[in-house]
Order: sequence, then structure tokens, then C-alpha cells
Amino acid sequence: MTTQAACRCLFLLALLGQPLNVESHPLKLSLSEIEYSSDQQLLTINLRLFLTDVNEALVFDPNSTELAFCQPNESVHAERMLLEYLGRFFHVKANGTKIDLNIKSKRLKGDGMNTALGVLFEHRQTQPLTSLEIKNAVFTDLFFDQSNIVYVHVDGESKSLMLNKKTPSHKLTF
Amino acid sequence: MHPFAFYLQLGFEHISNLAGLDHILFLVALCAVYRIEHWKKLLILVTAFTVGHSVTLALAAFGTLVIPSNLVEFLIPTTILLTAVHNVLSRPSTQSATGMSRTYAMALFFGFIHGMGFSNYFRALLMDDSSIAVPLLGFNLGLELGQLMVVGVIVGVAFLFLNIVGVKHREWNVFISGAAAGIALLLMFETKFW
Repeated sequence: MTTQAACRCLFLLALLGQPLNVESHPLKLSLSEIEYSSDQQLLTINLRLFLTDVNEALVFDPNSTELAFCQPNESVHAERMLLEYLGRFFHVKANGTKIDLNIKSKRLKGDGMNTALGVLFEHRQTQPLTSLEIKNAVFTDLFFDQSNIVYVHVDGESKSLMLNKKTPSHKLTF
Repeated sequence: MHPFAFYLQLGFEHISNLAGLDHILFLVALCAVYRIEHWKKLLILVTAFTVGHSVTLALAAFGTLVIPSNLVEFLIPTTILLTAVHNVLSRPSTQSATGMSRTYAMALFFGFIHGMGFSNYFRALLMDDSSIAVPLLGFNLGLELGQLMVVGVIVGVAFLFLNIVGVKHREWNVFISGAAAGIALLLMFETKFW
């Protein structure tokens, strides 16, 4: 095969590949950490979601700057839209009662397409914790291979869960 | 399940379910120039790529080196393009020991770049930097297991075409490298950071 033919082959392949949505590292993950301390009677939920996934879920554009989470120009609708979305795909039930998700703080970590939005929720849990049901199906409506890792720490004892479209929730008893 | 097992599974699935296109494409390009008879060279190349990943893991875990994600995402397809071009310009079956050493060094360096993409990804995701080592180690090991499977498939397909169908190795190399280069160019356009 001559160099000219090889170039033609390469060009054709590039053209044929045009409709493919090729992207590097389409690894779809979220991480959440749920911690309960009976001494402090406090249950904290820390969510870590990739910003591109959040934007795709809320405004259907992964690279949108419309909501501008954690920026000085953050949209007044950003938190409400996020909570509405989480209300459909994420919940934590302590002793069978669904916890109200009230954002305590938010922050961004990372850069470029690897920017994650961290959201912290706090809940005063005065009754001893006997069960914890966690549903985390965030972004499973968008990506078939979305995996949501959940770390649970209850009075120093840790457990890990992998939730996804097939298994969106899990109940732990103590 | 232990978190290490989660990440091991994720790494393996990332390769085996074809989601890790860039990784697979790099392996395809890396293997295109070799026949099954060159399995020792291939093994060293893949190992060099793995070592590159591991170096990145260590650097990321200790926060020694952090390269901007946008640059890394552009460099990854660039490594595929360079490997494809290298395939067409070199003749590894007759390559000298020095030439092969350069190729091994290239695989090592490119492994470093590929691993950096995951380091940035996990660094952003994890709650604190001290917890990065276990996920990265598990994910990288899962990737390596997946890579071994992918390399096995690639070498098997190459054996079929080269040894049974009778395709000339030079034509096979140009065809595979050309395809890899074409897709790599698309990825480069998609991830250009300027």
C-alpha cells in the first residue's frame, strides 16, 4: 500500500468515524459518604457528583455555564433544580423515615471536565439509628453504566455499597 | 464489598464493556505492528505501559505531580496518533535492541499520560486526597486485567488475519494504524484545549 493510499484510507476512516460520539474516559461514577455519630446525634451526607453530569441532568448540556454552581453568578434556581433532581433519584431513610435534604454547603473540586460538585447535607438524628435505607440512582436516567459508590460510617463502623440502575437502593440494619 | 474490589471491578468493566475507547484504541495501535511470534516484545510493551500507570498512581497519591485535565485529555489521543505513526514508520520485527528500548520507553511514557487522566478524575471525585491510593490501585489493576484480555483478543484477531487468511503484515499494520490514527484525530479535535 502506498503512502498516498494510506493517507486516503486514514481520511476516509476519519470521515466514517465522524458520527461516532468518541470521548475519552467516559467512566460514569458518583460518590457519596454517609456518616452518623450517636454522640453528636448528627447524620451527614456528602455527595460528590461530576459537574458535567449535573449539568446534563438539569439543563441537558454537560458544558453549560447557566447554573454556575459555586460561582459568584450562581443561578438562583441552581439549588432548587438540584434538589428536585435528587428528590427523584436519591434518598436516605433513617429508621424508615426519609430525611429532608437541606444543603449545608457546596464546593467544587478538580478542573476542566474532571470538576466535581460536592454537596453536604446535615440532619439531626436524635433517635438511635436502627436502620438506614439508601437510594442512589443519580444519573442512571442518563447513563446505562452509571455506578454510584456509597460509603457508610456509623459510629466508626464502615460499609461500602455500589448502587446502579439494576440495584438502586440498599437497606442496612444496625 | 471492600472498596478495593469496587474499583477493581470498575477498572475491568471500563475496558471490557468498550467504554474505555481511548485505552482500547491505544492497545490496538500498540499491538498492530506485532505478530503472535513477537509475544515477548508485546508482553514487555504492555508491562511498560502498566508500569507507566503505576508511576502515575504513586505520583497522584502523593500529590507530587498534577497536570491540568484538559491537557491530559488532549495528550491521550495524541499518544494513540503517535503510536500509529510510529507503527507505519518503523519495522519492529527487524528493529535493533536500541530501537526496541526506545519503543518500550515510549510505551512507559504513554502509560504515564493515560494514567494521569484517571488520577485527575479520582482526585476530583474523592472526598480527600489521602483516600486516593486504594481506588487508584484497584482501578488500575482492574484496567490491567482488562488490558490483558483486550491484548489477547487483538493478538488472536491478528493471528487469524495474518496466519490463516494470509493478509500481508505491512497492509494489516497500515490498515489498523490508519484506523486508530483517524479516530485519535477525532478525539484530538474533541478535546483540544486552546
